[in-house]
Amino acid sequence: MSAFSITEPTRRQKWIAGILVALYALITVMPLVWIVMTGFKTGPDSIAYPPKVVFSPSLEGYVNLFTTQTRLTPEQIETLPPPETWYDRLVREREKTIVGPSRFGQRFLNSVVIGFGSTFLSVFLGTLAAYAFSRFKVPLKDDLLFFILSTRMMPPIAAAIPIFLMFRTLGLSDTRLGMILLYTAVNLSLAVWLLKGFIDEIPREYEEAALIDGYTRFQAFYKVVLPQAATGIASTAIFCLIFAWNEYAFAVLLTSGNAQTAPPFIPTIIGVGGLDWPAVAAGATLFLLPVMIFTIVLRKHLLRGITFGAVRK
Amino acid sequence: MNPALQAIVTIFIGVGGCVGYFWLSNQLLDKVLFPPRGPSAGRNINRANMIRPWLFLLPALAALGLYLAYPVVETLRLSLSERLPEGGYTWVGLENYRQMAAEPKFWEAMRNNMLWLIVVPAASTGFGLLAAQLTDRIGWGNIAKSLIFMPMAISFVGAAVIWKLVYDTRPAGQEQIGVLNAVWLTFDEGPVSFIVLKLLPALVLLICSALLVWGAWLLLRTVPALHARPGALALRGGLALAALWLGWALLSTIPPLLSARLPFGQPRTWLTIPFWNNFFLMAVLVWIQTGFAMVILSAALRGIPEETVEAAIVDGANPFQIFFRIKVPQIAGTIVVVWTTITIVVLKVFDIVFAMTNGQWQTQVLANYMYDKLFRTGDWGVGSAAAMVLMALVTPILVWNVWNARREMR
Repeated sequence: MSAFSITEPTRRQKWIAGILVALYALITVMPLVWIVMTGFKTGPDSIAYPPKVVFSPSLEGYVNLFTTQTRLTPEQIETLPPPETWYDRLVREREKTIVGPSRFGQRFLNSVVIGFGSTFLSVFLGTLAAYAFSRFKVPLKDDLLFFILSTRMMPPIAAAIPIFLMFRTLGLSDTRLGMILLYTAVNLSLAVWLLKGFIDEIPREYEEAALIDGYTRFQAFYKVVLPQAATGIASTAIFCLIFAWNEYAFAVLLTSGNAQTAPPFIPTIIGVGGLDWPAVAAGATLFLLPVMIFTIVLRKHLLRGITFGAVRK
Repeated sequence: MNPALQAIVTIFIGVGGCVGYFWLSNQLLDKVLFPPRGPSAGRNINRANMIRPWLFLLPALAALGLYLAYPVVETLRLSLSERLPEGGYTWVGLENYRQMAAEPKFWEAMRNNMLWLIVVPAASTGFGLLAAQLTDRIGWGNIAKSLIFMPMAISFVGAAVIWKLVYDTRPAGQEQIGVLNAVWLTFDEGPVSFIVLKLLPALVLLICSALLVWGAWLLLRTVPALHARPGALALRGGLALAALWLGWALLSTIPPLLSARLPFGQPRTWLTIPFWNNFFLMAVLVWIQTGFAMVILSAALRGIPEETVEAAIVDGANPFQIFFRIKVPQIAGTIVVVWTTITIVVLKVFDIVFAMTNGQWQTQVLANYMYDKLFRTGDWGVGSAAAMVLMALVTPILVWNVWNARREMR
């Protein structure tokens, strides 16, 4: 756009737009800032009024998140040996003592295992299916592709009852394996569609040359196509990971103790005497941070995923 | 066994199993079943090539079929049958649906779902369009875009936790930790409160209803030009009527809004105010989806040929005319894509309602109603019927989207 373009907004227009955007951005970001800040507040500070914008940060929320504590009377505290670590000291100041780790670590680990497991499976199966759709003559190819697309749009909760029954019969309820398989299926449609787009972009000539050189189809696939599709595979993997990481409805339905992931767990973190907001906020922050970084870095690719390439830029 | 060792073994088995399946099945096909040797080499190659795609496709299709397609059929079956106390099922026809239709909670869920369906896509697309248009005009537009896009990174349940903190209420006299109550308590009977809480919303309502009436006029204006297409005619008439009705509904809320006496100085429990609490829940989803709408619409706006805008300026169009009559019509297709994508998200909404109110205080939605039936009352029949209603609502949008995508692919 040149400096003399008549479509260039005037100074006043720029100012008005700037103020409106600033206002909207502020409203958007405020809840996020608030949750991160609350995670670093102490119990009393988190419920201070007027809400404290300036406060001395504390890791109490994070300590509460990762540990289980009990309240002690002053007499009991005197009988204990002096606190050894900084977190012991922090907890002791609140007249409590640490009795063990909380379940958060295990929930977080479940999220990681289920997330990576299902991502690996859906990307693996998705790559192969996408390759077949992209390169082979498959009967009813379009119908199959659109069947896969439509499963993505279906509300997964509409399939919840039979899955719940199936899991109970197969002994998969509340197991990591069950959740991995389920998330794999839910992610497959996205993986197939995205990867088909990426593989379509790789010129066929490379494989044809490899086939002429005496490679089998399978060798051509993993020696020629796979390395070239690596970027596409990586970004598809990140979408699948984000989905599995954030999934809530099935996690609530199908897991309770053993295989529960972090999303159903975080809203239920109860401190001594009610919902422990700093701990909840700390958990939410830890949980959201990795995904937020990925999402912002991969913004453009992510949009392609959401609309299935309906919007190409 | 040591957990770490167990994990390594599991990974090994998993990865090995996957790779092994493909290697072995391809080897089997090439070396054993149809070896490209001997007298029938040519035919064998052809046969192998016919089967090979299915080796690649089958696992994915099987997973999708088993976990997504079969359950939908099974849900339909369950919705038409009743679980017997001694086990097994009996066919009851539409009894579950009748039972469900007799429940006020179901109709509450339907009403709320309709509200969500109207408000969230409209608000997200509208705000997104506005944000796209405005951010393109300022120097730091890209930073603003990243900020507005940020909520998109957040899971629904994370958002629910965040907004629960925003809406949190403590009894009067105690200190408030919720942002909304903290803001609310700074208002009093003064002129600033009047402007912010009454005049501004009234103005927004007025603008919205004016836009709706204008939209209805646009729809009706071209009617005489459409000869003998009763379907299109009915669609336009219906849409125009709906827009007019909605515009009137918005307009008629302005006088009560202006004359309402607001309970200043008292902390409100936002999520328990009937009817309006729905909007507090919707705000969460609008917050998430606006960024998505903004980024896509911004790309579309940039794709508009500059010449069309220049021509309009030369012809003396004002900025509003340029926006609504030059730019919006050119990105109408993208707006529809954004709108339908968000509509599908809205129909799936469960996490936000479940984690924030669990359908109490008249905020029930279909997905949560289904969950309630299923796991609180153990009534699988009615729960499945609710799931089928949800499917029926999604299907037209789904078919339309797929049809569109197919057309585009050709």
